Amino acid sequence: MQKSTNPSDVTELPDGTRIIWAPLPKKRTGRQALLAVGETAITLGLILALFVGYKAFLQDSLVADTQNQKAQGFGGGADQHKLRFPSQVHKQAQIFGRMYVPRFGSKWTRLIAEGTRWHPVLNEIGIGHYVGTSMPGEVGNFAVAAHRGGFGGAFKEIHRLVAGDKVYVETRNYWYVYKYLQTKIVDPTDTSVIDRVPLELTGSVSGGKYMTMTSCTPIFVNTHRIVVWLELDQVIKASDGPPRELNLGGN
Amino acid sequence: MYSWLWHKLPGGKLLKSLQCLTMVGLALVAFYFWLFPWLDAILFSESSTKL
Repeated sequence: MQKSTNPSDVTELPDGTRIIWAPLPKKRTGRQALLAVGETAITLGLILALFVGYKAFLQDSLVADTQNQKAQGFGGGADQHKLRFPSQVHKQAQIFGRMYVPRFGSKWTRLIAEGTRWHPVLNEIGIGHYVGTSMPGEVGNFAVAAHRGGFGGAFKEIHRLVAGDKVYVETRNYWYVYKYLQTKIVDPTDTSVIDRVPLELTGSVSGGKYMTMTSCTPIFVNTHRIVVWLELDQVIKASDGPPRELNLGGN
Repeated sequence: MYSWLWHKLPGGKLLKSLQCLTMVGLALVAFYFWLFPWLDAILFSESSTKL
């Protein structure tokens, strides 16, 4: 059976040939829109995944290398004057020390600056000293902070510090050697961990010379803070050279 | 979107592929130097409590 044909869809040529025009397929705009939305979502997802990869691996690694190189080159030779005396530190980002933590790697070193602002202290320099807390070697609590992940993650390996580990802090005149005491995970609001005498530190006493390292945990989640307490073990004059166990070969 | 772009590009499959790769490369460079630092500044703005 033949289909009935709409006369307007038929063209008759002079030679009698009849052209029957088939109806054009309906535009499926709804489906096309859905496809565009889907493709856009996939594209944005890919960009986000790239950003996460960039942030977690590429940028972290690049910034870590930069901070490490800056710390290694800072204050040596003619630049010695750049390392301020801790007693002369009054402003954010003034660099007064350098930290070595063999547990983080034999080449690991970072500069210590005043203040804990992201820019320019934690993001660019590496380690920030909590304003108002003691300076290295002083009675009380020398408290510092650094990123755990992102911007070089200076304290990425902080959870690996264990009994027997030492942290070395170099200043203009002295080397301060701190020995590991305790690690604790606390809420971000628990600021008592950087008190002059941190009560949560087992066996802490008034008159003690402590150091507190703080960072975020879990890494990249940042809902809590990881705190490591250390105690002053040794003070070495800078003129006597760096502690032999660091194998720095003299400065 | 991608299908439309593919058909709009001139040349055969090889030339189209090369153009697509060039565009992806340029996009990655733009992401690295512009988009990612910008996202960084927005998503990880100054804070002294989030370390």
